[in-house]
Amino acid sequence: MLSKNLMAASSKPLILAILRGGENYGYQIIQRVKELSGGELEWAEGMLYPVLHKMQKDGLVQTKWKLSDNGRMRKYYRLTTKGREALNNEKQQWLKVHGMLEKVWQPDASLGTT
Amino acid sequence: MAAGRFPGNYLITFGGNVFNLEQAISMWKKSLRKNPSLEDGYIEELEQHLRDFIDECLNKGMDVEDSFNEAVKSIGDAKRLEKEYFKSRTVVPLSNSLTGRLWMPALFANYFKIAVRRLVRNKSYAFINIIGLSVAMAASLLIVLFIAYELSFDSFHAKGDNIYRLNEIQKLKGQSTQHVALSMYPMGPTLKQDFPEVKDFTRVLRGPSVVNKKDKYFVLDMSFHVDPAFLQIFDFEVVHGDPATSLGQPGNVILTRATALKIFGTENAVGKQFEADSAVHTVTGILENVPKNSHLQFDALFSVMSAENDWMRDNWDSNFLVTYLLLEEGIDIKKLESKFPDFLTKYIGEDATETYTLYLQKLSNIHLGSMDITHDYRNFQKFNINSIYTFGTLALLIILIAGINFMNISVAQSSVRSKEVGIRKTLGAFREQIKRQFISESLISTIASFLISIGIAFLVLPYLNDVIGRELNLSLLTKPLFVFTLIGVSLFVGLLVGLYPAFVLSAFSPAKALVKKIHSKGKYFSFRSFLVVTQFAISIALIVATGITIKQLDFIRNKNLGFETDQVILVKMNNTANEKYDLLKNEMKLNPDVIDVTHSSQKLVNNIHQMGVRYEGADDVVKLSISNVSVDYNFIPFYEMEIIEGRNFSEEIKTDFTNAYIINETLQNQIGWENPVGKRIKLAWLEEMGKVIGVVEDFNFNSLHNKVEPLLMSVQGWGASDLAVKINASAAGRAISQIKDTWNKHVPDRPFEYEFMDEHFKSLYESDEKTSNVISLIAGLSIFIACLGLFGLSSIIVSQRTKEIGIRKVLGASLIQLFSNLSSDFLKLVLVAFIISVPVTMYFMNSWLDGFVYRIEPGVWLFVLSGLLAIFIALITISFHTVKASLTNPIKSLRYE
Repeated sequence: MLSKNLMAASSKPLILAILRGGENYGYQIIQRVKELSGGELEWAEGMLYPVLHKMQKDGLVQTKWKLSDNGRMRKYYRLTTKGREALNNEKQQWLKVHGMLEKVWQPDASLGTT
Repeated sequence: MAAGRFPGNYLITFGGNVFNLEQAISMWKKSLRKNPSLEDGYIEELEQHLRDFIDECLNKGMDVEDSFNEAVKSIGDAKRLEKEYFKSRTVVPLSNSLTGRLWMPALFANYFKIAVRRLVRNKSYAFINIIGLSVAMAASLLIVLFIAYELSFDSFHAKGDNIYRLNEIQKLKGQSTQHVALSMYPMGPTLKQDFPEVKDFTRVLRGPSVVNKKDKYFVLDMSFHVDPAFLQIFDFEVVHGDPATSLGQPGNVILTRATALKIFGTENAVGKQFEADSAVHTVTGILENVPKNSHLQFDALFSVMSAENDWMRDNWDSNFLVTYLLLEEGIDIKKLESKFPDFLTKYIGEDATETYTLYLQKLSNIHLGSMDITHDYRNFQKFNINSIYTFGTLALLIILIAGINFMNISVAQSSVRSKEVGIRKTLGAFREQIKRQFISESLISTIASFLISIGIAFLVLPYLNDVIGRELNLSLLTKPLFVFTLIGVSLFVGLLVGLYPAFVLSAFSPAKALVKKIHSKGKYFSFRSFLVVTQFAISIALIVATGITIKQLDFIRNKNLGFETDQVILVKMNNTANEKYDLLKNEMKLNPDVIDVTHSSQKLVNNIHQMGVRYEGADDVVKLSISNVSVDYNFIPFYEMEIIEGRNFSEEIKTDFTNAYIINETLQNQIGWENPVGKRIKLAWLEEMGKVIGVVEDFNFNSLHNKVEPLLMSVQGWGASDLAVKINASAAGRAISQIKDTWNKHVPDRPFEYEFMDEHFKSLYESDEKTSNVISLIAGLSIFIACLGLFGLSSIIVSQRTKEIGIRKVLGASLIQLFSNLSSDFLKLVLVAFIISVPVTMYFMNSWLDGFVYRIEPGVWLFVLSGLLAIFIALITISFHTVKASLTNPIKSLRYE
């Protein structure tokens, strides 16, 4: 189970990455996040939306209301160029963190002195 | 009963046992909408999410209610959502400089957004405000259109400023002083010849009413004989022919397009001929149809030379026509008028000024300024200028009432807005900015109302035209000046009604506003009470005014005139009809549906022409000039008039023809005869003295605006103007068609035309009737708008007192007690309004009633009744909310908020 803080921090790259595969609407994005987390999601689903709105405001995504097959209106989100740049940026940062953590967590490196 | 606890602690209970998904979703949405951070678009998106979630649960086999609850739970708590949304929207202001804060154009977008959102979310109050205001604006717009139309009368004549009608004030012996729109035949030409100030003149005499092409007869509604200068003075549009010469010869005639089409089947009939008054007339010009906003209405203009004869040419004795003068630019009217007495003395004689005073009436005053003028036969739809003022006042009052609604509801809602004001102030808003915000809210409402009002006016206009008999249209709205004025006035109203709420609401101290809700309390003498009192005082005054005008007009309609007008039809006669009168009369009377037939030289319910009369006084012969009518022998019994002394005319007695007179009571009293029968009297120009044979009880032969004047009746051989037939009420249609057949058989040269006498009678009060209609319409609207306001106000005040009501109820207050407690505040205001409005209304209505010689005395009960009606209507209006509040379970009212 992920902690709240970590979830909040990771939500942005997560969403950006999901949207890289093409435009998508809120419910599907949430389903995708759920899937990735193996069903262990700490935050309420509604919380996704303020994040999306914030991203829209920052110019990372664009939105469009579309009529879906079952006759419902859905708001689709799509990455902008700025969004793609942001995704790359996030990726670099996360990979850096990942690399750092990996290095410190090598069994011989960490426990060597004890 | 299924109950679910939703995020945000909103308890929702569903009615019935069956879970209704749609209802549940809509209530969930409603609970979200209460949250100011959630915009409609966000909620929409969340709803779609909810639905997708529910669908998925249903697919898994869960039941509907569980799916819904699960979905709501998973979307999350509204308060947290709100926080996140708020975070994602917060803007950190970059500049904090003073000018930057006072001038923030970006804020206007926000004001607009908040205003629109508030309108959408508080639909009922927005409805009250906007509908009230737009109905009021529509009513005012229509009134303005009406006033503009009335003022437009005769405005299309380019020389209008220098055109005057020559009127007389007549002090005839034996008759009350009267203003008449009549003058003498030689006056026009003589004035032009004697005074350089008079540039030109035209006389207007009644022209033929029937013309014929061989055996085909055509009725003209109104034709005139006019001088050749008529078309140089007035600007009636000439379609064919030359206005300068077309009336220069005897036999010349100009037709309007419609008349030409009627007679000749073509619009250009120049050169064609027809007969009238046993002479041939040649069409020398065609005019465009006369505009409806012209006081002169005609369908043909004959040359004055076709009518002129020796008797007329030098007749300084009879007034039977209208004279219009075109004066030189910049003439001092008073100075010109002061020369008229000498003029009269020169041509009529030494004592002419004792009888006549000449004066000039400006063309633009004729339509609206002629209510005191009688013998005014060429004045289409003449109207009272005072009614114009009244209507203008009404337009202002109704806007005032709607504006007050706006102010009251805005201020009463202050408890809802106080938090917003508090936050804005905390975040650094100046009072000035908050004022701007509230004013822009009222401006948006006013502009919306203005647009709606144009729509309403457009829809209502055809009906209104029907009621008032005018042809108003919205073409004024294409004139930029008019439109800008309207928009300007609307904005001004918006500013005015926004100012008071803006001042009140922006004055809240942020600390107080945030800590607790501020209720603007309705104190005894609060500004709000004052406004409500004003509204109701106006409404009550209008109800009373409506009551009085309706009663007065009803009184006139039903007043015993002293003769019977029911079931009498009047048929216009010509020479042939007069020659064959006995034949017509006898043949018509063979018809069982015809009760009686008579005739007279002038029709009743008009001012009857005054003529010279001589009677033998104690010492010598006395001269009088009084109303005189020549009648048939059976005239008095026909109209069921009462002979109080002497006898009626009799065909058996030879001298009753021309030498016997019946006088009315007023004439008897005026002369002072104690035993009038047998006294000697005659018409001025007759050789022989005749005798009074009877006295008839006074009857109102003129409009009831006037008192009964002296009247002399006799049987002369002059020929009559109107045939009167009394018919059987139950077979009116059949009777009229048979009368028509008889007429057509004997009078081929005058198409049959008739009117019911009581309709003619009604037409005398047209101006009064129209005014009364408009007043009652406005009264209805104003009470409606005032009640809308009261409805909104009571809803707000009752909701502010919800807790109090709950506590009272728990402590044992009965329904009646609660109801009267809640209603008494409002009723007190209505009562105060009543007390204020009575004396004011009394004053104005009395001055209106003074215009009638025969008038009602409005009793106290009329005021009491109107007051009760207003109280009753107010009570019903507020009872909607007060009863609801009184009935509410105290559990709910105590949990409220």
